[in-house]
Amino acid sequence: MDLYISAAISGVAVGLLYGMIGFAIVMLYKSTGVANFAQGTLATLGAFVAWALVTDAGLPLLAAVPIALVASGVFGIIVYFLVIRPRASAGNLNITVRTLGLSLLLLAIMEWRWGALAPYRYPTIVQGEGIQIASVVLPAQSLLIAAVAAVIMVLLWALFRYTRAGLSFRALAEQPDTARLLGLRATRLSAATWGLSAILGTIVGVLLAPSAFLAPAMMEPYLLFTFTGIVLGGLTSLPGALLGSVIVGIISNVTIVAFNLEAGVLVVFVILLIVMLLRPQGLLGKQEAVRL
Amino acid sequence: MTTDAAQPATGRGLEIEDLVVGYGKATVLHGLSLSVAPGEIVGVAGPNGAGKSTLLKVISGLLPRTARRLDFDGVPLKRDPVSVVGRGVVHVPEGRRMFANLTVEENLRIGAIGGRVREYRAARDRVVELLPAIVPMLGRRAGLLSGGQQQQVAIARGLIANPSLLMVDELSLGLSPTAVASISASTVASCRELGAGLLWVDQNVTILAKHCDRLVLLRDGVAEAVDMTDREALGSVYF
Amino acid sequence: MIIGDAKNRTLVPSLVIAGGVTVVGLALPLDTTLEYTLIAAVAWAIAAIGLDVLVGFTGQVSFGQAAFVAIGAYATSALRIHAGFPTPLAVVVGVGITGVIALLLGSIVVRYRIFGIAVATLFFGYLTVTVLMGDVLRPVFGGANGLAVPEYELVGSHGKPYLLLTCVVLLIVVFVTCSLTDSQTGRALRLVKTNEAVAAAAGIRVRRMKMLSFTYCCVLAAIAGVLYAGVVGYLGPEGFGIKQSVNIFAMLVVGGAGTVGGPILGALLVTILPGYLLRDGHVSAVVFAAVLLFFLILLPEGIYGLLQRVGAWITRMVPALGRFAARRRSARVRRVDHDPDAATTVVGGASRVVDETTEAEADIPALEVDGVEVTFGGFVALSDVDLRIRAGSVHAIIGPNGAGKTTLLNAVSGLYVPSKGDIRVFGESTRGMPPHRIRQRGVVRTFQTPAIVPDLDVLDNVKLGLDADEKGSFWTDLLGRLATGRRERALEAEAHWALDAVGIDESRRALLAKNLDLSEQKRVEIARGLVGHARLLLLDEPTAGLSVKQMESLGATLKEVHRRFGLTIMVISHHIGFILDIADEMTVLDYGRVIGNGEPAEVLARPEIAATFMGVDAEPVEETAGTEGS
Repeated sequence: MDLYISAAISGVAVGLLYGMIGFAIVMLYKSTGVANFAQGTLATLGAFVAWALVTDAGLPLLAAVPIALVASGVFGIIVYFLVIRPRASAGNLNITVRTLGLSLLLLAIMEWRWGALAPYRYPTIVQGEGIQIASVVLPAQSLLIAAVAAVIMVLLWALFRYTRAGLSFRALAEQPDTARLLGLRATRLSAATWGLSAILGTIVGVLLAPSAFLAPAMMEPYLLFTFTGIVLGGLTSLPGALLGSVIVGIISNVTIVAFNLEAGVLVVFVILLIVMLLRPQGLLGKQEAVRL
Repeated sequence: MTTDAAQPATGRGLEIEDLVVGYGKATVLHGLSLSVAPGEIVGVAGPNGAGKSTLLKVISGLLPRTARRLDFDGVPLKRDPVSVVGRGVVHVPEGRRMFANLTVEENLRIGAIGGRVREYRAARDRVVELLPAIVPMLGRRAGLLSGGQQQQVAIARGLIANPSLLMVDELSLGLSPTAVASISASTVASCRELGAGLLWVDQNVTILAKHCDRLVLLRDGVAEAVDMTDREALGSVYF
Repeated sequence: MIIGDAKNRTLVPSLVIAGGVTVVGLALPLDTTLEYTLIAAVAWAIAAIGLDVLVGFTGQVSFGQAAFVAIGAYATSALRIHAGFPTPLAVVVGVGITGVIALLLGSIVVRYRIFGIAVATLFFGYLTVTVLMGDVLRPVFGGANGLAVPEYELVGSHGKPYLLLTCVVLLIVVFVTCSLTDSQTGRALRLVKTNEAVAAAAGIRVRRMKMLSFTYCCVLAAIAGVLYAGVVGYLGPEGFGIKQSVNIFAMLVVGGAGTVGGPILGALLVTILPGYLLRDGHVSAVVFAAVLLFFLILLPEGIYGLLQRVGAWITRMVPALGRFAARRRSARVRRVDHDPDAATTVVGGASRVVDETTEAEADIPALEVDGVEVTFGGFVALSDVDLRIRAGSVHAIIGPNGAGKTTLLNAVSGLYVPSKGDIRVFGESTRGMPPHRIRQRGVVRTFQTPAIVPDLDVLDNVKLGLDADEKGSFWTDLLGRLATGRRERALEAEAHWALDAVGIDESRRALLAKNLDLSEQKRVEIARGLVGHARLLLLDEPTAGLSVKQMESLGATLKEVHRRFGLTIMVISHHIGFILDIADEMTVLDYGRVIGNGEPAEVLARPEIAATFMGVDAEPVEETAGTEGS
C-alpha cells in the first residue's frame, strides 16, 4: 500500500510538471490556435543550457538557472519570428507540423552536441530526504516542484488578471479577430507568449532532469501525457491543464507501479481517447464548439 | 447638438475614391467613392449583401483592396488595423463582439490599449460622462449583458480610444426599437461632443435619416447620395 | 498550405516517377549501401503514398504511420518465425491484422477534429513502440533486442532481385492508388477534404469515407513494413517511433501532398540524402529537420508542385506545347453521347423524364415546415415557423440579416435538428435524418460560397452529384479505368447533360473549378444537384456577389430548369428584383418568425413588411444612469 501511496505522491509531483508544460501549450493554443509539439524539446534544451553553464562554465546552479531562463525567453521569441510567423496564413496544420519539425531540429542539435555521453546526472536545487509523514516520505524534490508550481500559478494568475499584457492576452485568446480590429498588437503578444512558454519549459526541464536524467529525448513521454492532461482538463483552461495533468500523473504512476510501463501508457491512451470521444471540452473547459 | 460641442478636428477626414474589393471570386465593391468630413455624421444604408460591412472592414485594413484613394486626413490608410486605429479611425464591429469573459471595465480597457490611450482613468471617466448608462455595468461580465447593453458597451469601447472618426457597423441589429432609439441618440450626441466624425452603417434607414447629416445608399457595390427627406427614395433602397 | 490542392490525373506522372526509380535502380551498378538505402526508400515511399491518400486527398492527419509500418513488419515476421506460416500467408494475415487495428483506431479517431487526430495518432505510435519494446510481449517480439527477420524465400532479401520485387510492388501500389484517387470514390474523398458539411449535403457518408481512407493508408503502411523488414533484416522498435512517423510526413511535405508521385520523390530525398550522402548521423538529422522546415515555410507544394510549375512555365514559353496541352484538355471532355433532349439517365436506372405526375402526388406539398423551432444553446434562431411549398413552385424566403433564413434552410437539409416541430419532404418526415439521407430523398442544396471542389475540374465536380457514395464502388475503383470505364462514361454523359441545362459552355468544362468565375461556379453547383435526381432545390443566396447581368442570367437559367423538370425551388435572396422575376410565392422571416406569406408583389406592398426592412423609429427612453437598453 505504501508503494502505491508514494507512487501517487510522485504522480502528483510529475503531474504538476506536466501541468506546467501544459500551461505553456494551452497559452499558445488559446492565443494562436497552434498545438506546440516542440514544447518538450524546448524544455530539454533549456535544461541542457543550464547544465552546460554549470559543467562547462563552472557557474553555480543557482546562477546558471536564471541565465538559462533569460536565454530561453529570447530563444522562444526568435523561434516565433523564424519558424511560426513566416507565411502565417499557411494554415493550422502546416504550422503544427512546423512545431514537429522544430522539435526534430532541436533534438538533432542536442544529440549532436551532447548525445554521445547521455544520459547525464543533473544537479538538484535542493538536497536531502524531505519530510516524513506517518510511513510516507515526501521527497525534497517533489516538495520543491509543488512549491514552484504553486508560485508559477500565482504569478501567471496575477499576470493575466492585473497587467495590461495579461489582459491583452486574454482578449486575444478569446476573440483574436476583434482584438486585432481594436488595435491590439497581436504579433508582439504572440512573440511574448512564445518567450514565456520557453521560460516555463526550462523551469520544468530543470526540475525534472534530476529524476529523469538529462538526455535529448528526456521529455518525449512526458509530452504525450501532458497532452492527455490538458485534454482531460479542458484545452482552453489553464487551471484545467494543471488539474488534468495531476490526475493523469497519479493514474499513470500508480498503474505503472501496479503493473508495468506498457499498462501505464495504455491506460493514459485510453483516457485520452475516451475524453475526446465523450467529453471533448474536458473537465473545466467551456461547453461550446469544441469537437476535438 | 449641444451648445458646447467640441470643434471638429482640422483635417480632411475620410476620403475614398474608386474602391474595389473582392471576396474570393465575388466583387463586392465596384469602384465606390465616399467621404466623411471632420465631425460629420454620415449614414450608409442598403440591402444586405450590398457590401456595407465590407466597406468598414476595408477601411480598418482587414481586407485586400485597390483604390485610387483611401486616405484619412490626407494620408493613405495602411492595410493594418493597428495603424488605422492609431490614426484615430475606430471600428465598432457588427454584432458587438464583446469579450464575453472579461468585465465591461476590462472591455473598455482593451479599447484604450488598442487606441494607445495614455491616461486610462481619465479616458474612462470621460466616456462614462458621455454614456452614463454603462456605470452600473462596469463590474459585470460582458457576456451576461443583454444585446442593447452590449451595444452600449461596444460604443463606449470605441469612444474610449478618442477617435477622430468612429465607424459603427449595424448598430440596430437585433435590438428593440426603444434600445435603438436611445443608443442611437447617445452615440450621435457623444460624437458631436467629442468632435468626432461618425460613419454609421445600418439596415434601419428610418433611424439613419433621423440622425445623420447626410445619407448614402450602397447598392450593387457603389454608393449614391440619397435625399433623406424623400420617403420614396428611402423605400427604393430595398424595393 | 500543407494540404493545398491535390492533383488530377496523377497516373502517368506517378508511373513515370516510379518507373524511373525502377529502371535506374536496376540498370545502374550500385554499391551495397546505396542498394540497401534505395530499397528502404522505396518501401518508405509506399508508406508515404498511403499517407498521401489520407492527408493530401482526404484532408486528415496521422502521426502514427510508422507504427503501422511496424505492426505490418512485426506481425508478418512473428507469424513466420513463431507460427511457421509460409511467407505469402504470413503477409496476407499480417497485413490483415494491421487493417483490423486500423479500422478499430479509425472508428474512434474519425470523430475527432484535426488536433484530436494528431494527438491520438501520435500517442498510438508511442504506445505501439512501448509495447513492442516492453517485457510483456518480449517472447513474441523480442522486446528491446528486436527480431531477426529470416530471408524471404523466392527473392532473398537484398540485391537486385529484391529491388525488383520492391519496385514492382511500388508500381502496383501507384497504379491502384491513382485509380482510387481519380475515381468516384477519390472525388468523394476530395469533397470531404474540401468541406464535410458540403459532402454530407451531397449524399456522402463522411465518417465512412474517412475510415476508408485511414484504413487504406495503414494497409499500405503494412505492405511497406513487410518489404522493409526484408531489407533491414532485423526489426528494432526504436526505428518506428515518433521520429520516423514525422519522417514519413516529411516525405509527403517535401515531395508534395496530394500527388501520389510526389511522396516517392520525397522518400528518395529524405532517405537517401541522410542515409547515403551524409554519412554522419548527426549532421544528417539536423539537415533533415532543416529541410522539412524549409519546405513547410517556403515550398509547401513540395518538389512535385515545383516541377509542375516549371512544366507550366515551359508550356507557356513554347507555344507548340501549349497548343498540344490545350488540345489534350479539350479532347478529354469531348463527349461520347450527346442527346440534350432525352432527359433520361442510364446510371442508377431511374428515369428522369418528367411525366404527368399522378393525381395524388400533385397535391402533396414539396415541403412542409410545421411549427419548427431551432435553438442554439439558449438562443432561439427559429420560432414556430410554418411553411408550405407547393410541388413545382418557386418559393422565395426573404428577411433582414439574422432573421433565420439560412438556419431554416439548414434545418430542411438536415444540418440542424429542430427542437420542436416537424419537416416533411413530399409527405415524408425528415426530422432527425442525417444530411446524406435527406439528399437521397431528392433534396439538393447549395451554399452561399459555392460548394465545389476547387482543384477538381468542372466535369468531375458535377459527376460527384451522382451516387458519390454507392456501395461496392470502392473495390472497382481500385482497378482503374478498365473496370470503371463504362460507369465513368455514363457519369460523364450525365454531367454534360446537366451542364447543358445550366448553361456552362463546353469549352469551360475541362477547367479546374477554382478558375471559373463566381456565377459559373454557382451553376456548376446546381448542375451537381441536377444529376442526382433532385426533387427539391434549396438555393442559399444564389445572387450574392453577382452583377446585375449575371443575376438576370441566373434567373433565366433557373426558370428554364424549373420549367423543363418541374423542379420545386426554394430560394433565399436579398435581391428583390430577382425574386419578383422568378418566384411564385414568398415568405418573410424576421427574428426567427414568419411575418408574411403570399404572392411576392402583394407581400412587399404591405406596410408592416416594408417597415421591417426600412426600420422603425421609436421614442428614445429618458437617459438617466441605470437605464437599460432592452
